Amino acid sequence: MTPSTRLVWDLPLRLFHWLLAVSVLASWLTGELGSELRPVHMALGYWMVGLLSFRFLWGVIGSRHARFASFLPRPRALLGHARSLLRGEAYPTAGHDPLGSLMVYAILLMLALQAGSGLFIEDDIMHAGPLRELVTAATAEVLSDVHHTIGELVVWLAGLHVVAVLYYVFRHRLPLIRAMITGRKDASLVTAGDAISGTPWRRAIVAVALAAAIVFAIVA
Amino acid sequence: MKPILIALLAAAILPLSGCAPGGSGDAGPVDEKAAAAVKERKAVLTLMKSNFVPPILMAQDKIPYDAAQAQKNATRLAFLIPMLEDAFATDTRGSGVETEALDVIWEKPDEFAGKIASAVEAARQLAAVAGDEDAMKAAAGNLGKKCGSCHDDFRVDDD
Repeated sequence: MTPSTRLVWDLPLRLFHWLLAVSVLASWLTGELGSELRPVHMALGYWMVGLLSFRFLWGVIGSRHARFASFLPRPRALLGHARSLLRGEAYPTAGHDPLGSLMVYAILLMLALQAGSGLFIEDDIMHAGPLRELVTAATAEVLSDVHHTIGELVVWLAGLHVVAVLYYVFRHRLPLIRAMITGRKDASLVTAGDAISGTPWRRAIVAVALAAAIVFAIVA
Repeated sequence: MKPILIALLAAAILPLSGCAPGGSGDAGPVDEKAAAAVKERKAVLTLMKSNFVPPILMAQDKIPYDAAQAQKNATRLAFLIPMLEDAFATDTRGSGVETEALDVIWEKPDEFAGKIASAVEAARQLAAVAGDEDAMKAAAGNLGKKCGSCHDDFRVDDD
């Protein structure tokens, strides 16, 4: 009767993850490759505001392992995970592992600051964020520096995230990437009580609609 | 696993220390000639910006097209932009004066002069067609791209 795998990541969360990964990569490239691509970079920024808005809402009304409350970084768990890492041991969990949850918070927070600061800055030539007029030129300058610095930081965070995942995938045979595609983890890691039954679709529609409304309110 | 972890942490943290934005500067004694040159540059670029804002906003349909305004700004731009050549004549590398000008300006002077020349050309084109709405909008966009391409290569990357 025991299933071989159990569902932990709902479909909207998985879609969000992969769309975010592609969007971060595209934003980074269009940001670095020069001013010709700035309109694309800005459009990606608005899209990112929508993605992140969805995730913050989903962290409150999503399914179990998508909720922020289910993976708050707790010092004891973080220490335990860090020790296991130093001993070269695996640390399988049903949802995010402790250090992984810290990375989720770090990436989401930095991307929120990144997308947010981008709305207020300009290039002194022909492109200005939709909220540029709400701040003074001096503030926009500071936010411009913030945008540039966090942009580099996010690249390192994303790189560290990928390295950590690959470490557990190849060194410890934890199929984390497959789990983020299929949503399922091995039943030995997930108790029946930890599994989710599926996607709460009605709430997903609400979250997507609210996220779209936020983007519309800012850009339009 | 320890060495790997330490290497990872170092790889994550080290580059951050080098990415603080700002000028190119160790703070030595202030070079007055360099300070004056930087001040003049910023003055020219500030006036370029204030005269570029109306035409580019018209080109982006953010304000209505106004032929007289566009012509006035375009004429000034065609007059101001050639001043960049003089404004950057003084090599301020290592002067300690706070500036967003990159050293590469004086390392690749021909390339830099080429960018200025193409911006001057684009500004003259804008001034020549400012009375024609569609042509003015296209020419303003073209000039904006020249500005951007120069910033991409020769200005501190903080936007």
